[in-house]
Amino acid sequence: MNYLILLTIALPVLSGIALIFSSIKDRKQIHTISLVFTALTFITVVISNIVNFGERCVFLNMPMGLSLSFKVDWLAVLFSTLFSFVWFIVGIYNKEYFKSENNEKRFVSFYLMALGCVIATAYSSNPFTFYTSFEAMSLTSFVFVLNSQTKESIIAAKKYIYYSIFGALCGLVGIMAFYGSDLAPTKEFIAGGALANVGASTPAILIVAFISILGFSCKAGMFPMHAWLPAVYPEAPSPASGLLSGIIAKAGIIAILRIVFFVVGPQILMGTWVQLVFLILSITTIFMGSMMAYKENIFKRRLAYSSASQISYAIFGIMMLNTVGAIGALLQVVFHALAKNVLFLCSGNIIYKTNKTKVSELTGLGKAMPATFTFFTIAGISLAGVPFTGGFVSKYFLAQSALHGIFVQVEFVGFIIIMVSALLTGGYILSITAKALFAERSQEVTEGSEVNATMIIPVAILAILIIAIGVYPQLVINVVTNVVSTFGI
Amino acid sequence: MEIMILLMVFAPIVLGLLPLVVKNTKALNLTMVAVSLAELAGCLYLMFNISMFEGQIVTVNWFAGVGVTLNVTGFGILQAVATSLIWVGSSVFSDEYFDHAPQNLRRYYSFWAITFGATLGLFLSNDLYTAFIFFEAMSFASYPLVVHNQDEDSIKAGNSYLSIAVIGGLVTLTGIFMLDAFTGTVVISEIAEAVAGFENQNLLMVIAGLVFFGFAAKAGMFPLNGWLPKAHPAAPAPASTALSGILIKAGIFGVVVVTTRIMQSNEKWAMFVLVIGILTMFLGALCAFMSTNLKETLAYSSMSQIGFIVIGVSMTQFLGEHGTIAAYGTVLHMINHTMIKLVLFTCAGIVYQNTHSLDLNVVQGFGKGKKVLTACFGTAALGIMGVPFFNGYISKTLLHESIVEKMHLLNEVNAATGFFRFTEAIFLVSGGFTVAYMTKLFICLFVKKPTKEWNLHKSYVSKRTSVVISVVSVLIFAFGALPHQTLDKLAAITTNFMGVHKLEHSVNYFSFVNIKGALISLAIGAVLYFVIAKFTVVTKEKGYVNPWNQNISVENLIWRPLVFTVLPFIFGFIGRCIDKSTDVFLLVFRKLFMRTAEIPSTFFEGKRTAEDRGIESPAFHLTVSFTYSLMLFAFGLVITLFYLFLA
Repeated sequence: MNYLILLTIALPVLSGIALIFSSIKDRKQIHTISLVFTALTFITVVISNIVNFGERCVFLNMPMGLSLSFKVDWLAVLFSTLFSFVWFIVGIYNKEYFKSENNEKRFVSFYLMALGCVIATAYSSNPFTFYTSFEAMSLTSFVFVLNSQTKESIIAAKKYIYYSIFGALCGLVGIMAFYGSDLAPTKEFIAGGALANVGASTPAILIVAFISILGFSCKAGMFPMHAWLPAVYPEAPSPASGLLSGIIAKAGIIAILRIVFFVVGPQILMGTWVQLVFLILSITTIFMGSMMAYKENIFKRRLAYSSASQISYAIFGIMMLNTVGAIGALLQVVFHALAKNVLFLCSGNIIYKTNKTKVSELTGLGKAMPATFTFFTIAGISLAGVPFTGGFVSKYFLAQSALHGIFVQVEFVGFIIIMVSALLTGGYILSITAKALFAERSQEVTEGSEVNATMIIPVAILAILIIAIGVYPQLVINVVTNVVSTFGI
Repeated sequence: MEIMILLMVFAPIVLGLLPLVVKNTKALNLTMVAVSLAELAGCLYLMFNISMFEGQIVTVNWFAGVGVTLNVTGFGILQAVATSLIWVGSSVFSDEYFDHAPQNLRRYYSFWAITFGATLGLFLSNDLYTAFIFFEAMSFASYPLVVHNQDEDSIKAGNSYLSIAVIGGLVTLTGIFMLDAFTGTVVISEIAEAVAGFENQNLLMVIAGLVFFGFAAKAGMFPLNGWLPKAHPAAPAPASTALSGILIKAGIFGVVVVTTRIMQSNEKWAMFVLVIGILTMFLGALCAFMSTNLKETLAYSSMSQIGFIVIGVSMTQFLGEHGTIAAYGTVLHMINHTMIKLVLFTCAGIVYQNTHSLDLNVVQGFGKGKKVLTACFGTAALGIMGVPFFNGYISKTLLHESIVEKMHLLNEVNAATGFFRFTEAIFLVSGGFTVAYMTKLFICLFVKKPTKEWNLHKSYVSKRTSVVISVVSVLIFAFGALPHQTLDKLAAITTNFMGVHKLEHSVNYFSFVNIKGALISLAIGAVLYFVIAKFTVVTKEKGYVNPWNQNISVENLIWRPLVFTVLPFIFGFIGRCIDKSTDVFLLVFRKLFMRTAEIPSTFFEGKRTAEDRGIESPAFHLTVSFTYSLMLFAFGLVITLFYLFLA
C-alpha cells in the first residue's frame, strides 16, 4: 500500500514525459491534461499522507548503502501538501496566461515533471534521494526560466543553472562526507539528527555542515548566494516566477531543515560559529532584500528581492534552533508560499493585460483591474505582517523567538531588522496599492481591463486562504507544531 | 453577554463585506445608521450597568495566533459610547453629504463599517496584542476614507496618513513584542504589577517610548502631527468627524496605558509627556488661529485639544493616587471634545456640501440667517472655548485645577513650582487662542456679509441631520449646566482604569476661583481676536490670510526628507553594496583567472536598466576610451610616486 508514495511522484513525472512525446497540439487539451494530473497528484498526496503516514518506501537499492527511498513524516506532510496544492492552483491560472507566451507544450510538460520532483524532495528519506530529487527539480525548473527563449531569458537561465549547480555541489560535499564517515548509525534522515550520538561538535562536522547549508541556501536565495534571484524572476513567465519563489525556493528550506534537524542535529550546532554565521547571513539578507525591493522600480525584480528577504525570515527562524523559532519559520514558509504566488500571479495579470513591467507605470491601473490589485494588497499586507493576515502570525513567533535567543545581541539585531524589514515591505507594497488603486489615472493611461475568471479565481483562492488562515491559524499552527516536535529541540 | 460583546466588535467588521453584495447605497446607508444605533444602544446598556459588567472578559483564543481578549472597562465603554455616537451622527449625515459625489460610495461604506468595529475593539481590548490588532485594522481601514476624493490633495494626505500608520504601527508592535518578552505579560491590568520588579529602568523607558510612538502619532501629538491637519480636511466631512472626533482618541487610549501602566511611577516620563502635551496644545492652537481653511482650523483645534488631554494624562501620573481631578478632566475632555467635534465637523460638512469650498474668504457669511446651523455651531463653539455652562468648561476647569493642585503639593514641600506656573500660563493662553479661533470662525460664517448669493436648490440641510446635531448641541449645554448630575457620574466609572480614587467631595465648578480661569482665557481670546488678529490673520484688505509659510513645518523640514530621502539613501547604499558584493566578487574572479571576451551578464543588466531610464550610460563610453586608460596609468604613476616618497 505504501507504493502510493511512489505514485504521487510517478504520476506527474510520467504524465509530463508522456505529454512531451505525445502528438497533442491543441492547447486546450494540453491544459486539461495538466489540470487533471496536478489535481490527481494533489489528491494522491493527501491520501498518501493519511494512509501511509510514518511508512517508508524503498524505490531502488543501490550498492554502497545508497538507496532511493521515500518516507511520510510530518515535515513531508506539510511540504508535500503545500507544494501540490499551490501547483494545482497555479495550473488553473496557466491556461489563460499562456495565450501570451510561446512553447506552451514544453512548459506544461516540465511543469508536471517539476511537480513530481518537488514532491520527491519533500518525501525523501535520505540525503542521497534528496540530492537526486533536488537536482532533478533544478533541471526541470531550468526550462521554466528560458521559456520565452529571448536573449535575456537565456542569460537568466544560465545564471540560474550555474548558481543551482554550484549550490547543489556545495550541498553534495556534506552528503558525501555523511556517506563517507561512519559516525552515523544509518544513512537515513533521523529526527533529532543522525549524528546526535556523536555528542559534541567537532570542527570537521561544523565545516561540512556550514558548506552544505550554504550550498542549499542558494536555492532559498540567501546572501551571498542570492544574486540569481533578481536576474531570474523577471525573465521567467509570471506563474513560473511564483513557483520558483513560492515553492522551489522552499525546497532549499527543506534541505536546511533536513541537514540541521535530521542529519547534524540541533544540539551539535547550538551555540557554534555555524549558527552564528547563518544568523548573521540571514539577517543581512532580510535587510538587503527589503531595502533593494524598496528601491527597485521593475515590478518583478522588486518581488524577487522581496522573496530573498522573506525566505530568509524562515532561515533566521530555523537557525535560532528553538521550538518557537522553528514554528515561526515553518509558518513563514506556508504564508510566503501563498502570498508570493498571489503577488507574482497579479504581476502576471498586469503583464498579460497591459505589458507593463515597471512600478512607475501602474498609476491608476486599479480602476481597470480592481480585483487584481485588491488581492495584491491582501497578499502584500500579509508580507508586511499586518494583523488579520497570515504574515502577522509568523512574525509574532519569529519575534518572540528572537527575543529569547542564545546569542542575545545578534538575535536582538535580527528582531529589529525584522521589524524594519516589515516597515520596508509595507513601503514597497502599499506604495503600489496607493498608486494603483487610489490615485487618479493620468491621461495617457487608458488601456487595461480586468482579466477573466480563470486568471482571477486562483489568485482569489490563495488570497482568501491568506486571510482565513490569518484569522484562524490554529489548524496550521497545530500541523507545524507537530512538524517541529520531530526536530528534537 | 459574551456573545453580545463579541457581536458589538465583530459585527461591523463582517458588515464591511456587505457592499460586495448590496449595490444600493441608500440601503447601505440605512444599514449603517441602524447598526450604529444598535451599537449605541448596546454601549449605553453596558455603560449604565457598568457595575455589573466591569471586568467582564471575553476571550477568542484562536484569533490571529495571539488571540483576542476583550474587557469591559468603564473607560473603554465610555469611549465606545462616544464612538457609536459619532458613527450614528456621521452615518446619518453621510446620506445627504454624498448626494453630490456618489463615486466609490460602496468602498466608502465598506471601510466605514470596518473602521467602526476596529475602533470599538480597540477601546474594549484587554491586552496590548488585541489593542494592536484593532489599532492596525483601524489605521488601514480608515485610509480609504481619507483618500476617498482621490484628488491630488487627498492622495498626498493619504500617503502621509498611511506612512504614519505603517511606521507607527510597527514601532508600537516592536515595543509590545519587547514588553511581552521581557516582562512576560501584555495584559493591561497586569502590566503595572509585572514592571514593578523590573530592574532595568532604561530598557523599560525604551519599551514605553516605542509603544508610545505609534499611539502618539495616531493622536497627532507633536512632533508627529504633520499628517493630521492634512488628512482630516482631505477626507469627506463624515469621515473627518470620525477621524477628528474619535480615532485620535484611540491614540490617547495607548498614551494612557503606557503612562499609567508601564511608566507608573516615573516622574521623568510624566515630565516628558507633559512637555509634549504643552507643545501640542500650544502649537495646535496657534496654527488653528492662523489657518484660513474651515476644516483645517478644526483639525488643528483637535490637535490642540489632544494637547489639553495629554496634559491631563501626565498630571494624573504626577499626582499619583490623588490624581482624581486630573483623571476626571482627561476623561471628560475626551468625551466633550468628541461631542463638540461631531457638531463642528458636521456643520463644516454642511457648509461644504452647499458651497463646495472650505476657504474662509469664500464661505464667509454662509450661515447668516440659518438658525439651526447658527445655534448648533454656536453651542459647540462655546463648548470648546470653555465658557461656563457649556461642557468644555467643566473639563478644562478640572485640568486647570489639577495643575494648581500640583503646585500646592510642591509648595507644601517647598519645591520649585516654576515649570508648573509656566504650564498654567501656557494652558490659559492656549485657551485664549481657542476662544480667538472659534470666534473668528463664528464671525466669519455667521456675522460677515456673504461674498456672493448661494443659490440653494433645496434646503441647506436635511431634517435628520439637523435633529442629530441639535440633540448633541443640547447635550453639550446640558452636560455643562448640570455637571454633577451628568459628567461627574460619567467620569466616576473610569476611575478603575485610570488608577485613581473616586472623587470624594465634588468640585464646585461655578465658584469664582474656578470661573476666574475661564475668564482669563476669554479675556486673552478677546484681545487676540479683536486686537492682534486685525494686524495678522484677519486683515481689512486681504480678508483672511495665513501669515505662516505653509512649507515650513516639522513634517516638510524633518520627517519627509528623513524618511523618504536620507534614510533610504543611506540604507539603500548599504543594501546595494551587500547585494552587488557577490557579483563583484565573481567579476573580479573572472577577470583575474579567466579570459572572457563578452561582458558579464551582470553588467549587461545594469546597462539595460540605464537604457530603460533613457540614459545612455556615459560611464560605459568613458571606460572603453583610450583617455581613460591613460588616466588610470597616470593614476598608477601617482600612487607609485607617493609610495616611493613615503618609503
